[in-house]
Amino acid sequence: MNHVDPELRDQLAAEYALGALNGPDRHRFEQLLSGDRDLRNLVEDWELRLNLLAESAPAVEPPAHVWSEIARQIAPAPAPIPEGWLDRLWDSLGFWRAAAALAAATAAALVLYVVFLPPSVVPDQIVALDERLARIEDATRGLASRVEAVAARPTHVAVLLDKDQRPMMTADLDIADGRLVLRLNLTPPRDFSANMLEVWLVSPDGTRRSLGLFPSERPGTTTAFVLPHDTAEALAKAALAVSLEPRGGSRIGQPSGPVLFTGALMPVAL
Amino acid sequence: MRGMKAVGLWQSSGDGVVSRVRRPAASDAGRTQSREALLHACARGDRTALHSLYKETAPQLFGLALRILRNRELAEEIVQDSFVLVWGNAHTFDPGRGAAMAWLARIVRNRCIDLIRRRGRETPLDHGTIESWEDPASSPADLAALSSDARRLHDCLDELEECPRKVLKLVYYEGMTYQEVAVHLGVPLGTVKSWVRRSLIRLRGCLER
Repeated sequence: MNHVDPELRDQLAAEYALGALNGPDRHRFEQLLSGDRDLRNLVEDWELRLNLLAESAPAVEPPAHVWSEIARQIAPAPAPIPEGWLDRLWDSLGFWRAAAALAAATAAALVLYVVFLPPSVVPDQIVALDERLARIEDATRGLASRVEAVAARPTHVAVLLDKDQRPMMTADLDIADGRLVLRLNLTPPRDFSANMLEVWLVSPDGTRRSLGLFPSERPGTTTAFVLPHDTAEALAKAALAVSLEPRGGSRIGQPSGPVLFTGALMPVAL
Repeated sequence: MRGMKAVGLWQSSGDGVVSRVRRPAASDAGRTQSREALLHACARGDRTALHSLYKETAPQLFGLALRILRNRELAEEIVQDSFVLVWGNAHTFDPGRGAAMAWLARIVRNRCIDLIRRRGRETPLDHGTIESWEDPASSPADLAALSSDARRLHDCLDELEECPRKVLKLVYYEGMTYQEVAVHLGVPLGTVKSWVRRSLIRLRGCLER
């Protein structure tokens, strides 16, 4: 086919715009279109001419839910719920370090207090103080493990960028315990009414396997996956990708929707 | 040639023929706000303009999608997605290039055609249930409701010979391929192709006069 012949180009553009091309003809023409702006313009002109025929289409009232769904989808995005100071505090390592230190200090003071108890203190009071001490120690233990969890040092990190190089998500991987902590920084401009984010391991050879679904599209959402040791090892030398999938995740074992952002894992010790 | 009778209006399986509704009066003068103006308002973020545009154009766009897809759910989905797209892309509408209705129908119809070309119709063309098919825009009332651009196209279509005109309408309104038209009409494939190609050239000639 001579695709320089203006008459042929126009004829194919018209046939494509009409939707008459099928199979390999249609496929070949679409390949031509992708690299040929003038041809795309020809097609668009034909489409705009022919689609005036839609005015003569038999009108059928669509059911009401069609509009309500459109209205829902174009509704202004709700202002992101500001993360409360308490949430931030809860996530902050410094807070937990300080809280743990404070708790430990309180416990120590109480021990001293008990040890240097004046003789006038009655046994009942000692029992009560013992109980309080035990409770404080319990609380301190809880805090200590929490501090450890927050402070767990990742061995690998990744920043997942979208096509505009925005840092959409950050990932911390600890290959020792297989913990992968993901934090969504920005909400992708996608429709999440029936979709959600799915996280994929992309091996250097291009194979992809699902690591799981990300629970929310709200910015600031953090989630942790605990991976089997060999998966964590593989991930350390691979990349993460996040795709948009129908609720419940991709049904084909591969990303079925668009891949929104990706990033390779890097060891923290360069 | 029995085939000159075209494929019937899509029928729902349960409750018979889909209800026809009156096309909203679309004469250029009769409209309070033109579709073009509504699209411009959409581009400025006016949601009520999108609703007005939807009320005015969705029945025909849905009718067209139904006719091509022969599947109510898919047609609903495509109209819904298309209006969300319209909302996001209204700023790209250029009235200098074409009418608003053509711009809207292009979005809806291209998606329908893509779908059936990619994966085939869920409900194949069933020549056994071909109903008497009302030629779109055949009544004087329908014609009166057309915008001036659409009326012009209609007049140009009328200048074509009967068979090529009907083939063009089968491809446009039913989304048939050349092969499907040939089988449906019992006409050689080459004849169908040359009818369509010649009609398209003549149409453009007529529109540019």
